[in-house]
Amino acid sequence: MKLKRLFQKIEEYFNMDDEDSKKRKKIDKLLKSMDEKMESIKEKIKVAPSKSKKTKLKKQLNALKELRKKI
Amino acid sequence: MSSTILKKSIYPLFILSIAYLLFISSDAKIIIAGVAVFLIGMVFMEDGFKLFSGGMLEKVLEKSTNSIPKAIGTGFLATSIIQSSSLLTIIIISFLSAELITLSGAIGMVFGSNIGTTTTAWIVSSFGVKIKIAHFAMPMLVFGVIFRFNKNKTYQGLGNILVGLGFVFLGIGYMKEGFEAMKAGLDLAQFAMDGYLGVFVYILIGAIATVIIQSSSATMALIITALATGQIEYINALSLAIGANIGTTVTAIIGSLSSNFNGKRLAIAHLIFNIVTAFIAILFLYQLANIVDFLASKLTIADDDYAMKLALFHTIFNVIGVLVVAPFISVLVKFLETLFVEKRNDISRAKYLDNVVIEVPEAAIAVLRKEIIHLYENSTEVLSHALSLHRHTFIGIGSDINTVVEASVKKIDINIDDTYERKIKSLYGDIINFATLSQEDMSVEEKDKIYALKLACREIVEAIKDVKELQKNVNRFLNSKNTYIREEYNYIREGIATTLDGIHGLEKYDDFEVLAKIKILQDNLSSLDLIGSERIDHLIRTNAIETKMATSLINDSYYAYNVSKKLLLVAGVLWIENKEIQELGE
Repeated sequence: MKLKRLFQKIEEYFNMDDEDSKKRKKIDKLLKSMDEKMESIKEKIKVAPSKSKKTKLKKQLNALKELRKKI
Repeated sequence: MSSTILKKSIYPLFILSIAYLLFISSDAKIIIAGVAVFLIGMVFMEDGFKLFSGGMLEKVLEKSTNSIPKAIGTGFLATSIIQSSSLLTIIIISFLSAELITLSGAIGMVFGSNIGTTTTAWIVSSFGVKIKIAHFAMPMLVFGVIFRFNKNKTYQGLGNILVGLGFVFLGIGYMKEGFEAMKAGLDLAQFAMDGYLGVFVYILIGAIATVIIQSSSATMALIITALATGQIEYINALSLAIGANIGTTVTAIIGSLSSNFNGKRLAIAHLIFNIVTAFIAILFLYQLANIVDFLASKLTIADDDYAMKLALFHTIFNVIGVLVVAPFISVLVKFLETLFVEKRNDISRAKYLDNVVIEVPEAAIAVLRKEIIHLYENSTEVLSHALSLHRHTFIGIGSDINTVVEASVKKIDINIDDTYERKIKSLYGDIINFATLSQEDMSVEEKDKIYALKLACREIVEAIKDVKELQKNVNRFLNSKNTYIREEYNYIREGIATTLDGIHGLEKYDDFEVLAKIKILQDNLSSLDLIGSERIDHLIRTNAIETKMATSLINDSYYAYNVSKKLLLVAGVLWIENKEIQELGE
């Protein structure tokens, strides 16, 4: 019985790592895409043709910055 | 009356004929059993590939039709691997109905599939008739059954494929055995016919056989085994193969009668292709036979190996058909779109949902999403009218919503319950019904998507119920002499209108852009819920509004807040594809 519990714990440990690393990879991928998107918006702000367009893009950038903090 | 009797009697007559054949001839019994076993093998293989590929096939097919040559190549490869043109046709029609592929891409795939189908003839002629193929069937069946009992769907799929292949080989073995035994008692070769009379008679026999058996692959297997055992002459076998191609079209046409307009369009495209191909093959039959002889010598196929030559002929005339018809696909598309025009449906009924799509999870999710967008669009009319606003005055036209709201002083007398019954309820019901049916064979991930879509549906309906609650007071204070209360209710109307306008056009943006836009709209929401607002406190203290007005305003502002919140949740589900990005916004 004790041996069985030991094997179960070992199995859980390996599965946990596997689950954790998968989750970590997903988060890293999401962060990377988000950073790329934010960079692209910054570039668009630089070349925005009007003030209103710039304002809209800045709002989008700020929204994404706030959401990034949640990750 | 007589046609009904005729229709009802065809099936029993067919059963009786088969029973009679089985009774009078033990050789015919083996051949017919061989065909039956071959057909059930094809069914197992089809089911097996569906399970085994786990949606991979659909993903590949969706991305491989952006050019005609690619579509033809994809159709050819897919059919060669899965050995089932009928499964591919189901997937193509589903994707077409879900607007995941274009009609020209779909037609390209069907043409490629016609070439892919000829690989069965190669398998039968190269392995089926040369070796004791039934010996290979036994281990396939054993391991196939073992794998079928595994809990893992991939192994189950693999099991089905092995069982299917085993039955196919077994079926070929029986057909071969049956024809060999039959030769002793009845030599069908004595019925060989020369000249073009023979060609047309055997084409007709091939077509009828395929219509009866419902599978050109099974007919080709029969023809090849009969040819290999010398029961039919080579030239007659070529004619039978042309007939099998025509017969398969009849099967597709019969199948399309119960299909949607996309199924009908594809069936006609298939018919046109096969008629053109058959015409070319008949006109140049003897020349094609010479080409086959020439190519056979280059491919080191023996001169008397008529079975493989037949397989080569089958492939060549289908390839020629594709080369002749493929350049005219765009003309064909225009013709088909004129022949079968999509019916404009009543907006209160489903536009995209079709039972043919249920079998293909990716297509089912795509059409469900489109239909919920349709439901959402219907709901924007109800929501706007409940606020005495017209959609066309503020959604997607870049106007100042505050100005539009202040100018909209004419009450729109909409009975929300009645409108809900007419424009929303039946569509909602269709969506939920379809979502439930399509979930049956889906993976966990796919079921999660369906669940999110069903939730979005429910939120749309709940938003309508919430707006009903505030409609009465919106109309009551629309033209109130009390400017303060009128302004507050205009503020509520503006809040919801801003959300509706903000959601319009989100399909043009990528996931992060949609997420950002929704976040901006969500941040503006908090000002809608007035309970904590200093503004309402000031209005009460200064007696600008009566107490009853204040309580109505507080309650109605909360309903408005909920309406906008629900609409933004719906927007996230419908227009953010990536699940992780969607969750960020929740």
